[in-house]
Amino acid sequence: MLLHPQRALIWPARRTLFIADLHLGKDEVFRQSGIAIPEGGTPADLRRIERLVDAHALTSVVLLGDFLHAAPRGESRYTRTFSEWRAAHTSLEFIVVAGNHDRRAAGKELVDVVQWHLDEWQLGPFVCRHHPGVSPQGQVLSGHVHPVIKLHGTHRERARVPVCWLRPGCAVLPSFGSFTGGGEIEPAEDDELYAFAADRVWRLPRRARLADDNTRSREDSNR
Amino acid sequence: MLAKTRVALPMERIERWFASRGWHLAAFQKETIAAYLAGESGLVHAPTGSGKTLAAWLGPMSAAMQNQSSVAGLQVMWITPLRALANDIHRNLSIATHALGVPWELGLRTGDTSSTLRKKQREKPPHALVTTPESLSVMLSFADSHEALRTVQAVIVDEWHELIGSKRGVQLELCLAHLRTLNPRLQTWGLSATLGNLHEALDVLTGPRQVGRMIHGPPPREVSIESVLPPTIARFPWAGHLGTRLLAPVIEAIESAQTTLVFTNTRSQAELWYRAIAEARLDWIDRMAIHHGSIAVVLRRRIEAAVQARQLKCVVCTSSLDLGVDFAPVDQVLQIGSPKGVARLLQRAGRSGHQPDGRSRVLCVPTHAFELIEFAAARRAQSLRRMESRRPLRRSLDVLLQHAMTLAAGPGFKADELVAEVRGTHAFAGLSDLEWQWVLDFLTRGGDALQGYPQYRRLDLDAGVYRVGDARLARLHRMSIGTISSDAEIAIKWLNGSRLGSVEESLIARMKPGDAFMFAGRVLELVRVKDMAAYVRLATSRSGRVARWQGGRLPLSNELADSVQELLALAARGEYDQPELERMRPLLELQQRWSQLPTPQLLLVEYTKSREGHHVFVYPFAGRTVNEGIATLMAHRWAQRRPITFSITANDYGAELLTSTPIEVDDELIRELMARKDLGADLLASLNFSEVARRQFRDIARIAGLIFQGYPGARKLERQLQASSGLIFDVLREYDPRNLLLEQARREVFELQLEETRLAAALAELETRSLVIARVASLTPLSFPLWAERLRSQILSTETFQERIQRMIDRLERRAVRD
Repeated sequence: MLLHPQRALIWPARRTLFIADLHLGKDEVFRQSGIAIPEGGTPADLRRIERLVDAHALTSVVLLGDFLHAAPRGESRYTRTFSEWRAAHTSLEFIVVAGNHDRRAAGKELVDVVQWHLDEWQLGPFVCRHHPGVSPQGQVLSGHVHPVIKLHGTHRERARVPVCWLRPGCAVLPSFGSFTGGGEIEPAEDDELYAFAADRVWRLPRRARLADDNTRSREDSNR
Repeated sequence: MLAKTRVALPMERIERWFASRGWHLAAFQKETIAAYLAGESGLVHAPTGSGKTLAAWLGPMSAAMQNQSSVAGLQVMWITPLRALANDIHRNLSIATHALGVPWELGLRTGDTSSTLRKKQREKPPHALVTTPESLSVMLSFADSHEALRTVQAVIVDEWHELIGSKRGVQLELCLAHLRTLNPRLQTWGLSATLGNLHEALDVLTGPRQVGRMIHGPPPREVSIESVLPPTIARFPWAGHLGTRLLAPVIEAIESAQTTLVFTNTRSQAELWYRAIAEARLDWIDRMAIHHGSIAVVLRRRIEAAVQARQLKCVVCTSSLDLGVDFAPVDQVLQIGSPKGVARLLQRAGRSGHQPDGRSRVLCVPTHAFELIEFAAARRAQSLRRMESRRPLRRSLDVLLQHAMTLAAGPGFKADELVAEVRGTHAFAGLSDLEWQWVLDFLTRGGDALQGYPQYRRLDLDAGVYRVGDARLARLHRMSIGTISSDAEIAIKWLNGSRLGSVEESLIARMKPGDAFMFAGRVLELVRVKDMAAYVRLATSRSGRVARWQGGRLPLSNELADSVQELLALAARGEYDQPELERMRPLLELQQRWSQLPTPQLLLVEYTKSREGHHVFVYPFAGRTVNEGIATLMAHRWAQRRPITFSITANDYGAELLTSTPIEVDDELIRELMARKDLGADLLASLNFSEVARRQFRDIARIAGLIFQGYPGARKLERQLQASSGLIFDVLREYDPRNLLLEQARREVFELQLEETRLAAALAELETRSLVIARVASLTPLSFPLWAERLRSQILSTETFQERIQRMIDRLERRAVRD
């Protein structure tokens, strides 16, 4: 298994790409509600998938939930954009495990171009689902939490970076969509973390205390 | 002759009423009435308690008394910056109105007003309405209000000095311009406490197309500024701002007075001091209260009433009590920590009932050593009549976007009419055609002419009129009107559901049920969090973390910073003529021995090495923003020479540049880093490396309507519209770099955060000073506070993101090995 800097997990043996939380069309949902977010994110994210697929000669994409940000309302451009994109990649398998954002769309929208799974979906040793958790059926691959951690430099320097969070029996992938935020996680001591930053994947030391001592108050200290 | 009798009648009635109360109509009050009756606009500048509220109200009252026939419709709007003041103002105006026999109905409309009452007010408006800038804005978002607002003859803006330097002030400027369109003869009157730029304040209020009249009330009484001196400076902290070291003398002072207001600078500090006093004097527990902006409004009103009823011994409070009606029973005011500004300290001092000798007093309590100098500096600034200015903002496109949207939600607007109206304000007098076109594009198409956003819908253009087509959009907009920045707040409630107040969500987010925290003077235990409320009960433990609120600490004003430096110059010559300076003498002498005392003629730079790295301290004494700007500039220029990362910390005296890379410091280098050449370009370039603009964008995004703030009961649909301002900033920069809101964020950083004009002036002035580089073995009394403040430092780096991440991960690894 290979973690890719584009916040994706690749399984070369099965030529499969795992990504989570694409939130396709989120910008459009905002625009329809009168919030001026430019277009660009949706085609850009599809191009990112395309590049991954091409570079690694992949045949399947497995999306671990929150494929769409919301069920499309009225005339929707992003579903059209997506269908067109699919038409150009007919040999690619596109499997979606429904997430909470897909609730109203799952199994109804884009049924011709994606293969919806309303609950879990097993692929070899992996249980693909949206919400993290453990399963007797195998190793869980999930999304949903958009895991992010805060790295600290010396002094006050900080950087928030998306991570892949490996818990016992369960991997939580970072969100793939470019117009998605993240939530800071509190990993347990034995959890493994891989950070995605500056076009690289970084293995973070285990048992490292992520909270920074420098942030505690030094006020009122006398010399 | 006729005119004279018409004027005499109301004057007689006013004078008769004044006489019955044992008052005397002051000259400035007469002048204000006459100017009002002559149809003028203006600004009344007078100290608290001198009767400026009445001065402004008697104008419309006189006009009403002159006018025999009864009038219908809204005549006067009274704008107050604080919702909390609205009730008191309403009561006081009602008393005057009744006493003068004017048959006017007086309404009150704030965010607390029920929707039924608001609807009634829209259908049958009262003669006068007491309201806030935000409520006025909301009124403009209803089509039917505009007819009602046509009859308004005068708007009176109370505490104008509180609004002028802020985006709320800009919002009010726009609303006033619209009211002037509805009634071109509208009179605008402002009431203000002392400001360094009163004339500018007047011009902003009336707009550049009008000339208003300035009316001065009696000169402010001199306030006696005294300090509690720590018994010895040697054991007194050099930095920090929460210390309760001087608790004993504070308790003694409270003991000696009937009612004391204890002012602190932050809410956390108020919580700590309340706790400390309560624990030291358990017998006062029923006669003590804590009052700050996060305490539930109901509780605050109860506390204010208890003060008036003489039931309280002391109230620990923040700026939440800076403004308001006179508290007659209060006979002592304490200021904990730095005064921050002369005007602010004097305003707080003015909250005490006036002493028999006619002087207000404030007793200042330092929490660390250098605050002693600041108290002496405040005294000096007062005697030299130095007063802070509040600079009005210009070209705040975010506020303009919000205002245009407000009007579009109401009756709609025509582009050429609105732009003419908007250019009648001080804030937008210089609005370019290009900017205006962009505003229209943003509201109709999202992006500019070259890049419309698909599926975007905010305003519709129908027969030349811009309107909000979608009722849901109009409703959402009304809910987000307002320009005061605020983070998501979570309510604190007892288990029975009654409300204690609110704290920032981030505090609660870090807590687990069972954890204890201090709030409203109590130690509370978190029971559960549900539906944007944290349910609590009294904790059994006696300590908990102190609730922290965001919101930057106020910087020391320039006027005070200048005075501090002058006092240090006196000290450098051995002149310790103020009690505070005398007490600080050992510390100042230590500074002189180890390094130097900075004076207005000397630029001091200190260099030292520690376990943390290499520290360079500079002391321009130009105020925190400019000090930070100078340090940012130096770090940027330094980093141009080689890859290096600095952490920058600034305070009101100077700034620290800290790096782990070894550096050499000499005169030539420092002069080059501080040169005026290429200032603008270098500042702009330095910003690219930092995250400042992204942070500045937060308020802009909210005001412009790019961030939808949730509200209680928001449906799922609305929850899908949540995105952080940082994310939106990144998306705009990627896909619409010409977006003018990005430009505004950069400009605000430039003008408001770095204050480029003042920075240039400061650099020019520093060039004339002699430079001293002191190489010191350890932190000095002056540098220690900067070291201790590093919590708030900024990072400036020319390293690539990858290098920085690598460094942070290396650091984690070292730590992991150590563990």
